Amino acid sequence: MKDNRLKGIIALAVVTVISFGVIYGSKILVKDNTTNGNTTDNNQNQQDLPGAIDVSGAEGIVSARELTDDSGNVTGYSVVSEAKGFAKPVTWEIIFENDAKTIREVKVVSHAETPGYGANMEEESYLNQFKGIKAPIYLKGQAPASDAGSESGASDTTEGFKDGIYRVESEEMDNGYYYMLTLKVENGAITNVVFDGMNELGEYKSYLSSVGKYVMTEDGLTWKEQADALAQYVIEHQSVKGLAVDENGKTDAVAGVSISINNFLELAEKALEMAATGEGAQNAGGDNAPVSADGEFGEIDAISGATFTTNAILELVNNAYEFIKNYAGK
Amino acid sequence: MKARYPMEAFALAMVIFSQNMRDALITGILILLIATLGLVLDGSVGIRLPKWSRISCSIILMVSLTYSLFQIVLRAILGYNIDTSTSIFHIFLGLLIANHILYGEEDRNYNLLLLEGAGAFATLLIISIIREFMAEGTVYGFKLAEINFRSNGFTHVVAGFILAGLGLAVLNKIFKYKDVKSEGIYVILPVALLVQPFTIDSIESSVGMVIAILAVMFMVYSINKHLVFSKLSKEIKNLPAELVSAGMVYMILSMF
Repeated sequence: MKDNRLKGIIALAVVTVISFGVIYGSKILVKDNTTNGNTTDNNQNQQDLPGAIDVSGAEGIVSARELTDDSGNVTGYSVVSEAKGFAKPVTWEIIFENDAKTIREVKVVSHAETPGYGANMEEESYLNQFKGIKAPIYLKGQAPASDAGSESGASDTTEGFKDGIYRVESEEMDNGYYYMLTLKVENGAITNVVFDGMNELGEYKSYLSSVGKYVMTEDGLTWKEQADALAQYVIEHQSVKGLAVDENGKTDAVAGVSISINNFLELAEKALEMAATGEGAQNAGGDNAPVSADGEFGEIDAISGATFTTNAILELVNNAYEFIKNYAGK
Repeated sequence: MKARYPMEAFALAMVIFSQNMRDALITGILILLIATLGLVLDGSVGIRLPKWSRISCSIILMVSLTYSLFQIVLRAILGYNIDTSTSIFHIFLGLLIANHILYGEEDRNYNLLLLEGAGAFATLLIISIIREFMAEGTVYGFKLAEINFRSNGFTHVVAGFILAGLGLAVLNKIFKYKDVKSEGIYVILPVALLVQPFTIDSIESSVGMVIAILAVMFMVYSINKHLVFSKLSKEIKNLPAELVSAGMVYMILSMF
């Protein structure tokens, strides 16, 4: 028994010595290729700079500091934040304006994401979308509906439809044309519907019918006039209910419309579903237009094929915003 | 028979902490140090305590010691940042070491502990070298080769589970372990709690997490029930087979 205890102590001593050797060797051998090493240096550098903010206890925040002008007035905040990407942490520096809400710019500090996927975060076009938008940020179409007063994407209304512009397109050609429908909702009501088709040459059916190159009947309405009549029906009724179709896709519900409305119905129903939830709402300025400065939150595009990276970016930017909001609010 | 080294703790380290050689080196040596210290203390003091006291003291001591040592070494000495999930895994490591101390081989042989512990440590290092090299082309951060067939998939727990299962099977063969009593659930459950194979965006995140955990545990349980009736060699039985099947479960569920 005593012998075994002695053996145990000797074994412990041996393992302790080896442990010290391994740990000391690691300290010497560690190479600053990973974010941990770089982050430590960045952290040290940030802490040495004037205006450094104490980040101890703040999860995901590597370092932070106030940006000041020559007079010492705070002009903004720089926050280095990280979140776990696909395999390793993604670290960004987010520079906020002095309101601690508007993002001035973002910089990629380090990452180990896959080239062609998450590594696309380094592209200037992707980083530029953050300039001038307000935190917190969400993916386009995924902002919470309860955020009122936002000018980006959909906003909550009392009428049932979410304000915004909804674009839907058919996935396959039908008789040589792709069809698309745009539906605009303002103050909870549908105010504009545009339905059109495009052939392989990029020619729109509405144009072709207007100039006589797409003629269905000599006496009846042109295709464009019939498409506008269908659009007007949806605006008046705020739905597609009542647009019953026969086996040929024709309806009697709208005067003068003799075209098959199957394509229109399919796209309109899809757009109305999106408008009911606010999913996929786009800005009036287009897909890539940043949120205006008056919005309460920002919306960004995801990185195609890189869900983990996109989620990491959302997390680290929003963590940085929460941290600096709490700091500036003191 | 029972393992003479903390097999479950090393298994968890092989799954989670073998993504790169640096983490594997530190984790492996600290597991060995803490296990040896725990066994010495238990052999000196623990055996004199009543059973209920010995169990609770061992668990508290091992968990707190493991957590503290890792924090001191990784944060204070080496200057790394540790995220919350890594810290939680350190707590689970402490629990597994305590389990080995309390329910491991009663006739303690420190020679075999060090020998077999070193074997497990070496296996952990080999797995980490494979995973790091195949994921990044580096070993301990030093670039060895520019290879085109790199895959970040080697950093995922799927690769960890499969390589850990294979490594432990080889160790069982070398150490001539036959039908060693081990609990795979002690290794798989912490991983399932902290690393989910899929997320469900359309529902509340916490509900989605619970569903993912239950899916993993249910599939692993049903596979293990089937494995009872299958003809596996004695070295592969129990923990190695359970780890490999957990890896397959994660691989399948990750497709969603």
